[in-house]
Amino acid sequence: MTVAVASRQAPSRTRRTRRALVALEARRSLTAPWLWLGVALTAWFAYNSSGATFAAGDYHGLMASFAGVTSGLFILGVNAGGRDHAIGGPVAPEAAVDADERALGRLLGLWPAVSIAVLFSVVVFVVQHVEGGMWIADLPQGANQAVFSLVEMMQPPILFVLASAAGVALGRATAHRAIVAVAGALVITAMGFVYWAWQWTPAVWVTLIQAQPIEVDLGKDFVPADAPTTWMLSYPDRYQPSWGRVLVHQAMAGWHLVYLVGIAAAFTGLAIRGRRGRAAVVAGTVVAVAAVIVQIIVTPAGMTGV
Amino acid sequence: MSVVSTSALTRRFGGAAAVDSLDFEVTGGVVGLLGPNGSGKTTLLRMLSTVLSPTSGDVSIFGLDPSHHGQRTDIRRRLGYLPQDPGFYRGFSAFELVDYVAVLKEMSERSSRADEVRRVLAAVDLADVMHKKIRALSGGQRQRVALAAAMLGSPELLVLDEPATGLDPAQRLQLRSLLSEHGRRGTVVLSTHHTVEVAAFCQRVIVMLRGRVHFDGTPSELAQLAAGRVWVDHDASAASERAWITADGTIRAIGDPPTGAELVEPTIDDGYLLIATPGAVR
Repeated sequence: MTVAVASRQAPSRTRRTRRALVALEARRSLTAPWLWLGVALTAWFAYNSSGATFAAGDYHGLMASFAGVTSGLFILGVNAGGRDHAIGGPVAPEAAVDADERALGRLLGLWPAVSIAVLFSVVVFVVQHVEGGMWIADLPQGANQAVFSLVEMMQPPILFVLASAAGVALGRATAHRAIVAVAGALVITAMGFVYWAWQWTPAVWVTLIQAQPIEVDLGKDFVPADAPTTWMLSYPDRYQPSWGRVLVHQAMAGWHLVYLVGIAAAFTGLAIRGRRGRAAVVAGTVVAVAAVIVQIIVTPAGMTGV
Repeated sequence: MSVVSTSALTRRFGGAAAVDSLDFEVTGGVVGLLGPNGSGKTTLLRMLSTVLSPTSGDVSIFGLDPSHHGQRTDIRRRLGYLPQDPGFYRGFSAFELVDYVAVLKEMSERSSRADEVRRVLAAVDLADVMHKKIRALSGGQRQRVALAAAMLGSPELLVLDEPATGLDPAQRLQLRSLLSEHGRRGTVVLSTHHTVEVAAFCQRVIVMLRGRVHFDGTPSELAQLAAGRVWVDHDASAASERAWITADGTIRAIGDPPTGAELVEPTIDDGYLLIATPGAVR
């Protein structure tokens, strides 16, 4: 008996071209210095943020340090997305690959850089878990050390995707690539390395890098001995008048991830434009707004910041 | 069958018509566009290369409609375009830039693409500097990089906006031979300010003024427009539209010659100047 096996359909010209463009962009993104500078900056900041003299300082600092890699990926995105703003004018404006298809190829071409950044974050988190966690609270009922939860560990990879998409979208939209790259990197840095400037509650919902744990005010009448044994506490001191409960709020962290996914989708839409792009912008914006609303709802009463 | 065909083709920028109700056809060979700055050459070439849409009228390339997305892509697969100000990535080498353009032109197979990139770079005499960064190349070398990119895949239609800009005489000669060779197999439409280029290798010349065609014929027909209207003299004459002192010290004048003037054989320059001189259009 003869069995006919359908041969795999040859990839279309569009798909083959997209793959070639992705390969070219991938090579360029890996040979540019920005990812590696970002990794170095993150490693340097993570190393220097250890040994904090206050509870959760290291824990916050480690998450915030990913601003370095995120900035590097953003700059790579701006460079790739802005290629049609070349000196003189667009390169090959008459070529069969149109601007939207170019943007898609350039966006997808960042995946090796994003993958390396994700791998780097995995290594950082594995090291943190192997070392047994970080000092997170002043007065534990049980332990005062914690490791990052899965939801928290998912934040950097989503940030990397978001930064790449935002870079391509903004690079495509403006002829002033250098200004956008520097300004964007500064914004990311401001939301990361100076995360403490974003510790008032509304900022925690909308910041790019949410550095938990958060702290919930327990009031002046609180008696530590009455607290459940699973709680971790912070002392009253000159910065806070009463006892606080220190916790990594999983629901807040989870919905903040959804918020980041929404923004990433919106920027992806802005990058690739067209019908699919407009749909992504609308869907992403709706998701991001909804995720902020849910964060507001799930935020515990008495939260005083991070 | 016509490669390019336009009908009442018009492009306006604000209230001004850069190209105004243009009708012409191109069936092959090398066609040169002449005209002063602002005459609409670049706007016309941008429309022919599908980069710019007309405000009104029609343009058809290879019998296809560039306003239709699918047909525009089909046109672009058979087209090469050198803009007046080509874009460059300064951090790329010449090879990398042309290779990148080759991908944008759907040459996805890596080794054959690399062969094609080497071929076009060699054709414009850049083989020895192909791995130099664009930022390190001279203006003429950059122009040739852009020309090489336009020639990728030997397109059936080459649209070139002032391709000789920045080239030295030897490179211009090379360009002539390259484009005339291309014109034997396909079609080249180029704009230039150099009438000598047009005379050297264009089979047809179109002179544009204020967005309209004022002459369409062969280079020798353009020269013959000035027959009987070019003379040499030892003194400037009020009858001349244009006059200049030549290398031998005599004055060459174009216009209505005075009685007894020593008429000379006109060149394409004379014909062009006669058309392009304000108030001299007959």
